[in-house]
Amino acid sequence: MLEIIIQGVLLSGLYALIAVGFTLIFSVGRVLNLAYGAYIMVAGYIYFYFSQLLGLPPIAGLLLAGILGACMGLLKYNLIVKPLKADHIAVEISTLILAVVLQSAVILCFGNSAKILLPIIPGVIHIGNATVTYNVLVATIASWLILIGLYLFIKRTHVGRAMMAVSMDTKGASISGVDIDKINMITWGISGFLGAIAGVFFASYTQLSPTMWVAPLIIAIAIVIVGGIGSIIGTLVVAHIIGFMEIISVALISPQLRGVFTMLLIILVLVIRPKGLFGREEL
Amino acid sequence: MALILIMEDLMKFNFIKVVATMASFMLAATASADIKVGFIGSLSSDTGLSTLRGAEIAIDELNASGGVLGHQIKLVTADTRQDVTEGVKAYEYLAETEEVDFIISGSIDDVSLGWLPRMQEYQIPTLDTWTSYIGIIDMLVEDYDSMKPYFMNIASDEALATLYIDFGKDVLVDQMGWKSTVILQEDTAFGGAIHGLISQAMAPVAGIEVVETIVYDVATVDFAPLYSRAVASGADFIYLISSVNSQVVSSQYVKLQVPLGMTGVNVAPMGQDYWADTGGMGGGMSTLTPIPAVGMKLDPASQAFVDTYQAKYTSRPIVPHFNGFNAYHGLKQAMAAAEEAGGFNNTTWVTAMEKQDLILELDGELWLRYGWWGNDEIEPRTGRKYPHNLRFDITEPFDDGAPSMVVIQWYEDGTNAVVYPDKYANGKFTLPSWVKK
Amino acid sequence: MMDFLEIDKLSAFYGKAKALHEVSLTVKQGEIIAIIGANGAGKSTFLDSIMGLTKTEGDIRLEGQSLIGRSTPQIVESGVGYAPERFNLFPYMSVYDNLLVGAFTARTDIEKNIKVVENLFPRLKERRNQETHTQSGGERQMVSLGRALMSSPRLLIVDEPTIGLAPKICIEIASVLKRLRDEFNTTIVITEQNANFAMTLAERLYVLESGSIKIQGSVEELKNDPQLTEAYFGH
Repeated sequence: MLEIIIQGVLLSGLYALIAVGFTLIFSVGRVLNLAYGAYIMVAGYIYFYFSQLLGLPPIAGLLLAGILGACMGLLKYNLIVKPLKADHIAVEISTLILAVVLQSAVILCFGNSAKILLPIIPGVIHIGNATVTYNVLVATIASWLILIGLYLFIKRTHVGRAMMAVSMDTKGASISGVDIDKINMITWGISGFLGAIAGVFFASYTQLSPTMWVAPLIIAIAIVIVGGIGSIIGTLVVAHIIGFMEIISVALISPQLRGVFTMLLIILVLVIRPKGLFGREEL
Repeated sequence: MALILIMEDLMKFNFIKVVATMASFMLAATASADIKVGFIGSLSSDTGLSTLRGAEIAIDELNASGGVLGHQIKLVTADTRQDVTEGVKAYEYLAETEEVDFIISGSIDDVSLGWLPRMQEYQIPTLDTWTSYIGIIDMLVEDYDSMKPYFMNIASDEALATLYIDFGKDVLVDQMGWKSTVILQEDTAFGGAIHGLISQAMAPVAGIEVVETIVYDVATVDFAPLYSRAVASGADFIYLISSVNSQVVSSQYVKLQVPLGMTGVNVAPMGQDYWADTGGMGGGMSTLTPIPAVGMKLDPASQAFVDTYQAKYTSRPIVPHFNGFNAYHGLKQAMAAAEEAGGFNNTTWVTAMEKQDLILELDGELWLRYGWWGNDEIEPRTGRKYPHNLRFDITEPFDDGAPSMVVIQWYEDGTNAVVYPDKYANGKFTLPSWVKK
Repeated sequence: MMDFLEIDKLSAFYGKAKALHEVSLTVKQGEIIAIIGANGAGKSTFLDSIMGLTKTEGDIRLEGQSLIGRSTPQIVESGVGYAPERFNLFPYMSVYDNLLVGAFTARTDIEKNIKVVENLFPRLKERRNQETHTQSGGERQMVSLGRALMSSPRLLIVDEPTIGLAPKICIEIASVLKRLRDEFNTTIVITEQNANFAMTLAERLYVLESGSIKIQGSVEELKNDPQLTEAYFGH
C-alpha cells in the first residue's frame, strides 16, 4: 500500500508537469499543440547533448534545455500559429507535421536508436518494498516547486492574471489594456520552458528516442480532456488520478492494462461530462 | 534471429529514410553490367546495417582480388524499413528493376516471411543472415524445389531453444541454486513466444517454478511498480523478456538497484552499443544471443573482419551484430559457389552452395563453422532435418559446429563476456553488487 | 477650438459590409452624450470602432491626438475606458481579479482606483471574492464599469448601460455615471435604445439609424422633436 502511494505520487508529479504546459496553451491560446510532445523529446536530447556529451553540470543542461524550449515555443507561435491563426485545423495539422519534422531532425543529429539518460542525481532509497531513486525524487520535488511557482505566477502577477483573462475572454482582456499577442507569446514561451523541463525529467525516467514524443503527448491530451481546460488545480488533480490509476493497475491488476483505464476514463468523461471534470461551462 | 522483432520505426513515415531510399535507388540506376548483389533489410537499424556492412566488406575484398567470374561485384540496396509491405516491395524492386544475381538479407522474421513467396516466384539465390524462424526451414523440408535458392546461415530458433534449456539447468539451477522465477514479459508476439519457451520447456526441464508472470505494455515509462511487484512475488530471480525499448527496462533495473538477480532474453544487450545506449546503466544484465556474440573471443578471420569494419565505419553499430559476420562469410561463400557453378543458375549454384563449408579455428579448435546440414540429414538431439540451415552443434564438446547460441553477461564496469556454454565462456555468471546473495 | 473627442467621417466594415457610414460627432470634456438607436443600428460597432476593434476609415481624435492605427491596449492606455454591452468579463475570476486585470495599463493607480470603484459600487466590495459567472446582470454591469474605471480613463464609453436591468439598478447606474462626471470630470459616451433614460443622463443626443447619424441636438432641442418621439418614445 505504502509503495503504491509513494510510486503514485512520484509518477503523478511528473505527469502534472508534462500536462501543465499543454493545458496552458490550450486554455490561453485555444490551440491543441500537437508538437508539445516533440518539445519534450527535443529538450531531452538537448539535455543529453549538453550534460552527457559535453559534460556540463546537470543544472546547466536543464536550464539550457528550458531556455531553448522556450525559444522553440516562441518560434512556433510566431512562425506557425500566428500566421495561421484563423484556421484551427491548419494550426493543428501543422503542429503535427512539426512534430514529425522534429523527429526526423533528431534522427539526423542523434541517430535512430534509443539512449538512456544518466540519473541527474544517482542513488536510491528503499522505503518498504518500494525503491525510489534520488533522480525521480528530485524530479518530483522540482515538478511541485515549478507547479506551485506557476500557480502563484498566474494568481498573483499582472501578466499571470492577464493570461487567465485572455483564456476566458479575449475581447474583455483587450479592452482592459492587455496585449493579446504579447500574452500569447509569453504563454508559448512558458509552455515551451515547462515542456522542456518536463522533457528532461521524462527522459531521465525512461529513455531518449526519436519516437518518445508520442507517450507524453497522449498523457497531456488525456489530462486535458479529463481535467477540462483552464484549471491548473484541475490539471494537478487529474494528473494524480491518471498517475495513481496506472500505478494501481500495474501493481494490483495487470501491467498490460496500464493505459487502458486511462482510455476508459477519457471515454467516460467525454460521455458524461464533455467539458471535463474541472472544465468551465461555456458562458 | 527468429522471433525477435525490433520495432525501432514506430513511425512509418520517416522523411530521412524516404530520402535515403530514393537516393540509393538513383545511385543503383546507374549500375553497369557487373555481377549485382542486392541487399534487403532496414537501412536504419543496427540489424540491417550489420548485414549491409558485412556484405560491403566482403564485396570490397572480393573486388580487390579480381571479382567473381571475371566481373566486379556491384551492391544495390533496398530498404524494408522493418515493415512487411515495404519488404515485399523492396524484394520486387531488386528482382525486377535491378535484376540482381544474388540477394543478401538482414530482414527480421516477419519481413522475410513477407517476401518469401516472391523468392519462390523469382528463384533468385537468397541468403538470410538474421531471420531464424524454423518455419522457413520446414518449408524447405516440404517443398525443396521451390525453396532451394534460399539459405539461412544462422542457427534456427529450434536449435537455439534446445541449448538454452541446458543453460537453465546447468547455470540457473545447479550453479545459482535458483528454484523459482517471476517472468517479466513485454506484451508482444515475441514476448509471448519466448514466454512459451521458458514456461513450457525450460522451467519444467530445469525444475524451475514460475511463480508469476507479469506482462507489461511496451510503452511503460516507469518500471518501479513492476519491479516492486516482482520482488514481492518471492521468486528467486527475475526472468526478463524484452525486445522493444529494452534499454529502458534494463537501465531501470540498474537505476532502481532491484534487489533480485535477473537474466532473460533481452535484445538491447546483444549489441556492443548497449553500454552507451544505457549511459552505463546496464550492468548485471545477461541474455541469450546468437553467435558470434558481443564479448565472445573470435577466430583470426572473424577478428580481421571486425578490425576492417571498425576502420571503415565510425557510426553505430560500433561492432557488427552476429548477422554482420554471417553476411561477411556467407556472401564470400555464395560468390565462391557461383565461381564453381559458373553463375547463379539455381540448379548448379544451389548444389555448389550446399557444398560450401568454412571451418574457422581458434587455438587449434573448431570455433565457428559456416557449413550446411545435408538435405536429408537428421540432427540427433532435436530429431529434425535442417536443409539449407547453418550447421550448428548443440551438444558438448561442440566439435561438429559452433553452438546455436551463447549466454552473455554485461558487468557493472561496462565489460561483457560469454558465460555459457563452458567451451566459449570467458567470464562467470554473476549477480550485480547490490543483490544480496 | 479643439473638442475633447472628435470623430470625423468614421466608417466601419465587417469584411466587405459597411456597418457605419461616415459618422461625425464631437464631445466636449466633461460632457455626457448618448447615441440612440434601435437594435442593429450600429451603436456597438461605433463604440468598438473607437476602441480600435473594427476595420475603419476616417479619423478619431482624443484631445487632438489621432487614435487611428493604435492597438486596443494602446487606446486604453491613452485614456479610454470601455464597458461593452455583453460585459466581456472573466467569468471564472473573482470580482477583485476582474478589476485588477482592468488595471493592466495603470498599475500605479490600483489602490486609488479600487477605492473609487468600491465607493461607487459598495456591492462590489461586499462581493470581492465572488466569481462573476455566479453574479446577476446588474452586478456584472457594475464589475464591467468598475473594470473600465481601473484604467483611469478620461473618456468612458458605455454600451447600453441599462439593457435588461431592473429600474432600480438603472437609476443606480445613472447616478454613478453622473457622479463620475461631476466628481472626476470624466467625459462619457453611452449608447441607448431607451431615449427616456438617455435624456435623464445626457446633455446631447445623436440618433443612429442604419449606421448613419440621422438626428442630433441637445436634450432641450430634441425633447419635442416629433421624429424622435415617434421612433423612440413610442413604447
